[in-house]
Amino acid sequence: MTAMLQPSGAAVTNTTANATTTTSRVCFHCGNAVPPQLQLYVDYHGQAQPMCCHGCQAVAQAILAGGFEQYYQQRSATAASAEAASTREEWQAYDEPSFLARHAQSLPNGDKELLLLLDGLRCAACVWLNEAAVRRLPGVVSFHINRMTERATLQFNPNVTPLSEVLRAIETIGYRAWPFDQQRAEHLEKNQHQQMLRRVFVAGIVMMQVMMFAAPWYFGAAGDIEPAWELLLRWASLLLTIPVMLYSAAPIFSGAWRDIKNRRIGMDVPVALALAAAFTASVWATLAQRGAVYFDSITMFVFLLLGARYFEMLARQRARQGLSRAMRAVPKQLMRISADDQQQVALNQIVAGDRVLIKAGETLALDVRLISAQAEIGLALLTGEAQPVIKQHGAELPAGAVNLGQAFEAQVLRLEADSFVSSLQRLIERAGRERPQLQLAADRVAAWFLSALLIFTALIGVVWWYIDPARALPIAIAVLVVSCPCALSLATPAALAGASAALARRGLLITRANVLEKMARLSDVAFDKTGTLTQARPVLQSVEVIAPGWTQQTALATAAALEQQTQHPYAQALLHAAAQQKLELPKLELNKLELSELELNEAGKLNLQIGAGVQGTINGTPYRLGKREFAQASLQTTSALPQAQVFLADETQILAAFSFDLPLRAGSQPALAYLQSHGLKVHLLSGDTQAATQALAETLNVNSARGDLTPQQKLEQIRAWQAQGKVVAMLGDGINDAPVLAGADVSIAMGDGTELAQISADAVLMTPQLEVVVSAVQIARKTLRVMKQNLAWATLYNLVAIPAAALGYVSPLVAAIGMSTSSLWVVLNALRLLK
Amino acid sequence: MESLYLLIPLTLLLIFGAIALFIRASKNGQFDDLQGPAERILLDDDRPE
Repeated sequence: MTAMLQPSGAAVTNTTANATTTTSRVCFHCGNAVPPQLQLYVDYHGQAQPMCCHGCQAVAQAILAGGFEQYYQQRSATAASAEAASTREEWQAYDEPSFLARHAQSLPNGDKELLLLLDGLRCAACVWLNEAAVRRLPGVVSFHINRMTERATLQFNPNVTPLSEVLRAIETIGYRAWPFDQQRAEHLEKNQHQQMLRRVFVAGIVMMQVMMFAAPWYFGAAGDIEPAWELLLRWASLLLTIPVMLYSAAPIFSGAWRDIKNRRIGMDVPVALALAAAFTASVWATLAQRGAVYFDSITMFVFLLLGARYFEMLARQRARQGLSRAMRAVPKQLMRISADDQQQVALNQIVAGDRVLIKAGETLALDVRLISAQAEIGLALLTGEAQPVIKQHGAELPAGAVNLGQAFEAQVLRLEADSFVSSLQRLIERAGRERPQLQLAADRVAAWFLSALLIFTALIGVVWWYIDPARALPIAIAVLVVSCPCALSLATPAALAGASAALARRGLLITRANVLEKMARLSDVAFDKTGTLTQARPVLQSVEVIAPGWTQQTALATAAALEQQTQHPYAQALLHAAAQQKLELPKLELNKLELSELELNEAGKLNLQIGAGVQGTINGTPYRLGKREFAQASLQTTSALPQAQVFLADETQILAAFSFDLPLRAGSQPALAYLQSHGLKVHLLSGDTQAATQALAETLNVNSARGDLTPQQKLEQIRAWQAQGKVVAMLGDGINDAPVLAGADVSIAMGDGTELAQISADAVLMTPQLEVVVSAVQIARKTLRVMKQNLAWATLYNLVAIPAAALGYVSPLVAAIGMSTSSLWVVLNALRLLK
Repeated sequence: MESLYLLIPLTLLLIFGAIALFIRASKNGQFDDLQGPAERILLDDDRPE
């Protein structure tokens, strides 16, 4: 069991608010660094534990108040940091009877059963915490979390506890949950898993029993066993092996048949042939009561091969599940506008050409064309940049964009099948289908090998027929059996499964098959700046008070009050900063300013000037908050202003200036140093200004940095490096990195970056620890070594065994042992990778 | 040694029985979560009610 994690670096002893600590403190709940001036604590077992923000404090208090403090003792990983509360409106929609009718199963007694997708489960204690918290709600009949798939089954009475209550309960303790559509693909996946496991089990249990039956022969009593018992045991072995051949090995045979129909010799063909030959020979030997039987070797081989493929499938499924979280971001309903009214319509009832209303804060579910004059949207899901983009009438807005401004009207262009959601799905499918280069090479070698072998066996059979006909068939069988390409077919899947598991444990999910080979030869690592080395959301850096009579707190409170209704990243940063300082926001008056054409209840009573700023009234005084030009618009004089992004002004003067910054990810610097110390060259490639990039490079001690790059230019730089013979990995988080990610030898997306980048990258880094790249390189090198060792062993073994069998030195027993041990050896070798 | 004529077929029956039981358990979703139950054992539920 993994070690229990205690928050490290908490240099807080029983500190009062006045004490200063010189060492950096770490949040007890989520492990993030605590800003030095922040004094937030939670009483845990009489000790004051530091908190990094009000969110974590609220969650920690909820956990302790609920009597769940055991969570902190039991957990083996820190929690996800508590983000601001999600929109409540989202949850209300889930209480609609129509929603439940569509997504939940009705049980005979009136209760509903529903699948939930959970986020933030980091370890076993999280599972316990969530289950306990939900189960104690009245009306919840049962709540069970599947740790492997991170999905939960909820049985509840919606009249007693509505679904929104359940979701809220989960969020209160710091996690998130969404209703989950069990789509057909997921169903298939579960079936796939179940089927595979059953096949492995059957092969395994039969293997054990058949080998028990064969034990007397293993122990050298071959000559002493009476024919009667030998016959009995052989028949028993035969009967047991039949289910293995028909059921467990079925995928092998169908795969081989498919290959043959397509006129290619894949890996399944030699295996199927060997199995068929060995089985047929064994059956014949049992019936004719002479010759050798190979039931034990057959079952063992099938078991080992299926086992390796099972683990490989498990790793792939896990990667796919991690990626399918992208599905949850899409809303299932849209507001359709018709000639006389507007109504909320389910997604599958929308047709292309419908006019829809996109509310403030809503995510676009489909590609649309803008009808209103202007719209301010966030493309963070697609580009990773938090800066809103202004689109004009007639522009195409992609599915996945978020409405950061006022509500607007648009026309649906394409249905879901053509939008980015389905391209996500297709990318996920693709991730599961590919095979590594080395395995493809092994397949080709095996194909050639098999053809050669068949010819050779036939030749040997003919030769022996002339020399001593009685030995011809057994020798031919022995040659086929002993040369079984077990090692070849097992070499790569076993190594791949071991490597994937080892990497997944360290937080790197491999989604494309050929990653390991490229990683083994890695020489350079290029980093995107925003969102990869820095966090993706801006944080309030400083408040500069300009007008007399104002303090930082009042300026911040006023600014935050104005931004309460906006989803703009700067707005969120202001609100977050105000909440951190526990400022009371002044009440925003219901203003009587002119509203724009599309007035919407949810958008509030603010007049959102698209792209420039926000204007609102507090205590009778109108304020403007926004870019320099916007804030100054109503003023007569323009004085010299400090450098900042956002300004607060009233009717007479500029009041304050707010600067925002993108904070560096904790641990970036040591991680990069670690990479460099292990022989990897580190580069910075950014779309941000050269000055900013250079500054960051100096902070991180990186020599090579280039800013002001378009994605195309980034790609060109990578190509230039590749032309020099370097093998380049690229780490990014946004889809504007997508062409770059595709061009790099190895592309790694950040786990908390955009979902689309994760889908199109070769691997996803689920932890913020960039040092994992080094482990990945080491593991990749080891994996290649293991694969080559396995292949070398397989080759050597065949070079020795086949001539020996052809010359008649190999008895069937020895052939069987050889076949089994070579398979076993390959698998054991691959298991070394798991360390 | 004649007992083998009884024991061996009995073994076969046992094995087929085990396979049938396994498949039934699998259909009931017993093996859908291979990680959770292992960890669940270590978690007590000592919350004061």
